Amino acid sequence: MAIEAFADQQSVAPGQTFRVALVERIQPGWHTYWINPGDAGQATKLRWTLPEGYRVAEVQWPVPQVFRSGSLVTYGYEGQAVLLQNVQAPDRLGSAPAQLSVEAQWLACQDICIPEHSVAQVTLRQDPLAARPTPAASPALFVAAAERLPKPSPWRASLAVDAASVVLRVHGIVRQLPSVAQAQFLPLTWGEIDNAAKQRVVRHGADLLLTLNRGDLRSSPIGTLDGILVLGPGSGKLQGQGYVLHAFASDAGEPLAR
Amino acid sequence: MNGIQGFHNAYVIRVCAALLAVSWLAGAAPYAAAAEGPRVGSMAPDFVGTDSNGKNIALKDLRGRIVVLEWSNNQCPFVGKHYRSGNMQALQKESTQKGIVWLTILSNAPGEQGNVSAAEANALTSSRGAAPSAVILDPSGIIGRAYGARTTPHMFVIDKTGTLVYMGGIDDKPTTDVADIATAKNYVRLALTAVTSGTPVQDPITRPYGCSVKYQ
Repeated sequence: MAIEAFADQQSVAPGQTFRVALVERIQPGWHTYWINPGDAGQATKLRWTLPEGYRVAEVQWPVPQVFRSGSLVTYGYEGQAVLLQNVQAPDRLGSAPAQLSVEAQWLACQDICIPEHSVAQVTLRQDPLAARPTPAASPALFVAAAERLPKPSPWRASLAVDAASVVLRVHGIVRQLPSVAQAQFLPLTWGEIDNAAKQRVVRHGADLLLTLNRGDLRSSPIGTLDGILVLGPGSGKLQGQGYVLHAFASDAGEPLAR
Repeated sequence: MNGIQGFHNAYVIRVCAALLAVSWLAGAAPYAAAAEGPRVGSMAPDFVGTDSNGKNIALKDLRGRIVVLEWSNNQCPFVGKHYRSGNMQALQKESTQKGIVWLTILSNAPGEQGNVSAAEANALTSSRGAAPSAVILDPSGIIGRAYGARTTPHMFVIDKTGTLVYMGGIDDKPTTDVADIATAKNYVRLALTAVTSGTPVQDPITRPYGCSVKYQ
């Protein structure tokens, strides 16, 4: 795999927030991993070295693909993946160009896995007196990358938990997407959900109910569940889109149906 | 070294007893209890496997001893991290010297990375200075599936009564970087210390990390 780094501007003004992108060009047949790699694998790790006063925010992960291999499921990327991050410039800038350097460590797998690492750089002009920055030479990369990020969910989500399963209820989704037939929940963290188990999806009035088998932490209570709801076939233009869900367990004893 | 040798003799006797029981009950074929997956606090799924010296090993015959199960694939970079550093071998020696039974289990299918012959398995043990009590060859994945083993490494600890007391990662740093071992919390060592001293295991279920087990 080859990596390249970009910024969404050619120059930076004091105190400004801009975006950087780490582009993974993944060899055919291989994949890299999401923040939650699933049953095996390892998330890509980025470590930026920035000029003094610059601060970088967390990685914004694009919606991953689901890879099934026998009884195991992993989450990651094929082809190309773009990891975006916001960077904030300090209020006082020097006049020399700013060198932003990123060291990426990743695990690339097909049947077998190979850990790799590499370094990429991006250089920005610093305009200490400028009010507005110069835009990137090619903003298309950032537009396309932003489209692949999961979106905030317009639907509330709640949980009903028992010893064997978690029923994730996405409230009102059917009203806005009447044709939703399939959806899949990708958990952000390990342990709550069995990644490989079939997810049963049924409509219940305006709500969508996803029954998820519990994972290794099946004997621990679950208060909240974070992850991405990916809409499947039958979702029209929204097929393949991901929505960030933050679901709270409903009060004990609350019946499943309203 | 004496400790290990002494232990091995005792072990051979137990294994012979196991052989008799097994050949009468289920033949010499590999066997594992059908289960919905292992549960900490419940009996560990029973199994009979064949080791790299052709001996049958039945979990049932190891009652009275603490047992560690280590899923492995010698070419997996996560396994490599713990063997290149000597971390896994040190824990194996430390454990077997205390009378703990350490079973390394290879569940990758024929033709897949990490599937080795009995002779290759023995050569790997000697070239890496490894010190498991035995290496069980599980190419059909029967034992692996009974335990829901997903990664190499994936670690399990079973107490003297046959109860599963730990399942998960070797430690809390899910990387291939040897440098992380020094600062990692080794969950298996902590579980063994707890179960040896009769105290509860603090972190009984953790995230296993590594390469996927390549089942048939």
